[in-house]
Amino acid sequence: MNTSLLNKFDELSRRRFISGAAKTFLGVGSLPLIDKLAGNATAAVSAGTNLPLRPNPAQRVIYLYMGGGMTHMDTFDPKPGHENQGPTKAIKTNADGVQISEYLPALAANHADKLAIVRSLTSTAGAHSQGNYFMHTSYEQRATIRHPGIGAWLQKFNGRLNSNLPGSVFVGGNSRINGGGGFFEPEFEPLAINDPNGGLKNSKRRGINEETFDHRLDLARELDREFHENYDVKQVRAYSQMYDDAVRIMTSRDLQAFDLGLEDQATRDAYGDHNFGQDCLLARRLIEHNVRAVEVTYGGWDTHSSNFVTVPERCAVLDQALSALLTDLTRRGLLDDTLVVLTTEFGRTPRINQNEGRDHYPKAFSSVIAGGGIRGGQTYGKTSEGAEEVIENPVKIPDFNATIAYGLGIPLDHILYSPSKRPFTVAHKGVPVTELYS
Amino acid sequence: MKIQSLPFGATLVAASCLTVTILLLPVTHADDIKKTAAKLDALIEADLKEQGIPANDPIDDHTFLRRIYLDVAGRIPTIEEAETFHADPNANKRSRLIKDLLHSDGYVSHFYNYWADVLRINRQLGNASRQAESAYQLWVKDALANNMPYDQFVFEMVNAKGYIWDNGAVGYYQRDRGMPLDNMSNTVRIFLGTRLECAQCHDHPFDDWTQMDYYKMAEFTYGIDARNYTNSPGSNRTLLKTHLREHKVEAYQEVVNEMTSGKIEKFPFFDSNNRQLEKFLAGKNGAAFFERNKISKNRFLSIVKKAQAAADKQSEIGRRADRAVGDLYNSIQYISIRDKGDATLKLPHDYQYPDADPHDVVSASTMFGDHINTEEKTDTEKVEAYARWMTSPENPTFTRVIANRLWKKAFGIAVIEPFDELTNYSKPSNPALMQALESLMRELHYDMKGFLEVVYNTKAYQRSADKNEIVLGTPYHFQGPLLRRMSAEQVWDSIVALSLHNADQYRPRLESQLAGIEKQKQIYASLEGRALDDFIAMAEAAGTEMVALYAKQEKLRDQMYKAREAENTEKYNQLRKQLNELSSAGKQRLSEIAYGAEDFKIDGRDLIAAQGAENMMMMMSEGGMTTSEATGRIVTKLAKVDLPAPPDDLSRSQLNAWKVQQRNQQRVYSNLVGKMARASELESPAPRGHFLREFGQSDREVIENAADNASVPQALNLLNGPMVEALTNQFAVFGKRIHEAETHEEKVKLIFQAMLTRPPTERERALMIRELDSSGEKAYESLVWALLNTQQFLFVL
Repeated sequence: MNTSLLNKFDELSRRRFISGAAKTFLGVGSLPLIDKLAGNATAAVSAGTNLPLRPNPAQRVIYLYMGGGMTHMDTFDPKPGHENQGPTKAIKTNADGVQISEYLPALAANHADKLAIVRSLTSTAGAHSQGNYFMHTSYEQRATIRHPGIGAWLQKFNGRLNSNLPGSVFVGGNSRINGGGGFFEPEFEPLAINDPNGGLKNSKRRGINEETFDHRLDLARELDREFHENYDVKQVRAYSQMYDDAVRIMTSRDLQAFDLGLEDQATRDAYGDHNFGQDCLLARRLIEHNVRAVEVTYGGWDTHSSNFVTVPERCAVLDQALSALLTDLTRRGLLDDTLVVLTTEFGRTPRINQNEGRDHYPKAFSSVIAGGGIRGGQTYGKTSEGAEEVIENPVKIPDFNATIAYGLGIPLDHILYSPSKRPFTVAHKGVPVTELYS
Repeated sequence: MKIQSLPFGATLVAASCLTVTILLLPVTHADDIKKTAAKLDALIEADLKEQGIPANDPIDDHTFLRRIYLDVAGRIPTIEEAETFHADPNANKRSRLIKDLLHSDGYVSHFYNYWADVLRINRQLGNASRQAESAYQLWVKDALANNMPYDQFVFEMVNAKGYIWDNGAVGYYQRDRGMPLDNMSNTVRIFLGTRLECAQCHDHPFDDWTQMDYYKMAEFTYGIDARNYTNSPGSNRTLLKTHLREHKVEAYQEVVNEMTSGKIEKFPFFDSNNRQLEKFLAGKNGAAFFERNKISKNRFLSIVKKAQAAADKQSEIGRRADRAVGDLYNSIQYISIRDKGDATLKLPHDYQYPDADPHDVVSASTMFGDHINTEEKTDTEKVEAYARWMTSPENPTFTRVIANRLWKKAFGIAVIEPFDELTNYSKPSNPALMQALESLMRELHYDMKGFLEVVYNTKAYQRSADKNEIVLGTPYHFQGPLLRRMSAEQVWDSIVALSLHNADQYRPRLESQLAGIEKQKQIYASLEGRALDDFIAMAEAAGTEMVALYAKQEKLRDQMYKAREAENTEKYNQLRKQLNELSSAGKQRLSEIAYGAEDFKIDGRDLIAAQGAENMMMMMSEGGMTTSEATGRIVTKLAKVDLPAPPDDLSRSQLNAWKVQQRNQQRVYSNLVGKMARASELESPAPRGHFLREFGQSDREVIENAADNASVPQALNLLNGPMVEALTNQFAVFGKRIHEAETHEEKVKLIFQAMLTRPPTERERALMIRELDSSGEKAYESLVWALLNTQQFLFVL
């Protein structure tokens, strides 16, 4: 929060304005009116695209983040026969002419026809922290500001689909710090769930029955009566409101969104007996209950040594979980309006190092998008014979994020201002790769 | 512009006149503090009168007690602390308590949280290291504990240099490693209350700052080097690299000499890794060389080939040696702040203004106030001059910012808002008060505790919190402090203090933090303290062993690929285990080669003792120490709680039930209460999803990022979280008192005292007694639960 009252004031009036603007103008591809009002000519940094909003955009996004830098050559951009390849083999897929790594057999056999594989990502951010930040926000990491991630932007422009649940959720370990609410208001900060089996934290009564709970709550209200009479101000009333919301959520059916116990064993097994699998299953449940954006992190891709031991192990988990997720989303009819993104901070050096590892390599790497109107079974962009350079259709990180934003119907050229009055857009100056969509 | 660039002399004269009239006496002694506070009150009251605003009512002792504990010690008082205060017959007891609390450990903890949010002290300082984080954290805590004057505090950070174990303040620059321009923006905002971020990319749109002003300011600190220490010019590792390269050439030369019997002078060196040889052969130089030395091309090539083979062999050993050493150096990459030496700051490629061209070299110059002559100054001298300029009492905004900052800590709102975005249009709500506060700050030589002591002693502070809706953006005239929601840390620390004995002294991470820093110091000394020859010998020995290790690993991996191919999971897992063991054995071996008998087993307790602090194990019997008795001691471990003797009139089955119940309480104490500590002594900031983060603890990513908004997880936590169990546990500070209380009357009194720091009103008392009478023994838990879930618990009245 910005603690100064003046900033709060700016923030409030700005927010009111934006929400007004959103109601009135969004969805018809209007000019960003905010520029004119702010009277700031230099701030009109346009995304360089006059693209109209995509009709029937995806409503939700599941964002799978492979932490540490996923090797492109041993996953989605194999180069059979090249000396850089090492022991990894390429296998055919159910998409014509598309080969991927042998470590992803289920995806290859059953789901490649749903995937758009982008093989031409390219960046210069070669350190984890900077790369992770850049991929999540389209902006370079700065010490003076935090940029919002895709879930926050989606919620900002298109609102929540379910007012009982948070707009976006982070699932998985504890290390994610990028791609949250950024400089937006606190309600855009994702809810963090560290243990997929834990449900929504503190959402169940603790050792008391409903009657006692209600009785205690009444007692609390009764004891607080004088305070509320004395301090009838917005800040205090917000807390009464919050208690009402909390109690409503405790008894809401939406709470089931967090409960993996409601899944049958076969489904749980299909996703796999590992955290990432169960995290993906939770993501599906949340999406099903209309949470806008769920990010699931899966780390361990920083394979400086023993790349060909670690990568197949990671891939086995990824292959099972992602395959189950795509099958499940398809079966439930959710895939058409849910974008599934698989990405990472950078690729890994095509040349194998002396420890049979691969080092950081932002120059060329791969990511995948599926669902949400994506034309599956395609590859986009190409790297050189040894996967060292992008030789066709390079996609910069902001371009990739613009592609996601475009798929979700977020206006690319709409500028929002940070509390320090600096202008930002969802994917900076990125240009979307519209060819990925059908 | 600009308020700031008015001829400064004028302001200063005005200020010093004020000093003479208002603050005749040095503020040291209780009466002087009262007098100074009264002067401030006079200015506030005059202003209120002029505005036609009545002052709020003075607060009673109960409200004062809760507020002052929260504002200074960062938590509500315990029952015992309240009893001590109320029993004090001295008319001056409020002033005495203010002084005591300012000198307590609670102050350090509370103000650390605040400064950590301002300075963005997060895990590993962003991209530095755990140890750099510890060192910075401890440095700030020490500075607060020792009441380092604010100007010195800032000077030491802005001028920080050296190693983390000697000077934790280097964390100030490590936090923004790789982002020197952003660091300058942050410095100027935090200490000079000026926002320059916009001017990094273009002239400031709403203020008068130009992009040139920005770069000229940034130039002062551009020579500061926070990068990986390992690659700095003097390090043994850098020297090793040079040596290895020389060695490679020597190996090559040796073969050449042998094969030519030393008859060919200046036989060129060709690295097998590049194409220099091909170029040599294709061009004129090759032919000329063959001609001059009467050597055939074939003969030449066979010599080069053999020499290269020798060089490559040498290079392979060298690479292994360098890599092995690299592993050793990994843990000490970010341990220091140095001079870059050769850094020049240039304008960006898209510089668009007529006063200079893109890529022009920038010379340092201050944005306002006194000019600094940087000619012939080294980087070190330049930074020092900049830090002096910044922290000088004559700097136009330095004093104003800290005076506002601390005033806002007490009142919830500053005299100039926002105080960290001063512009031409900034206006104090009470100009005379602003001047008086600035003068007071200078007069006190930037003594922060002294300043706060005066502020807390004002009548204005000791008035009831304002009950009106504050109209955002309108000036506030200090009829009393604002109503504030407790910070996340205040909520958490209040619960901790009611649960854990001597919470303010409990520092469970201190030992390992100190030991971590010390270990880096010793590793550094061991690696860098060696003569180069010795170091090279060690590196080569390590390299040789690592070669053997890598070969073994390679073999294992090949077997693993085969096992995977054959889908032999059992075999694969077995090999996987071996590979892991081999790699930890390798690390162990490397450490033996490098450090021999030194094993860096460092005892954190010794380090605490070496600092002259008394380190003690917390005992239950010490639960009753008062704040001043306990201050300065450090508790690093919690003692196990002992079960009390069972009541003697129990039947066998009653006794068993009693035991089960006691053990259960014991378990809750060690698993729940025993894992608590004040927010400043936990992983900081706490991980996402922690109580503290749910209540808005700053993530420390941007300046002052703590939040006080309501959110559903907060309510869920108080409704259904484990806090009630901590509070009511019979071994906990407050739970113990409730358990020992005999009558319902007494229990109600204690519960109110602990949770809300006051006795209940008659209506509340009746409600509570009825609850206890109707719901029996467990009812006090209901009462604690209910009070924890009131909003008055969360607000600072």
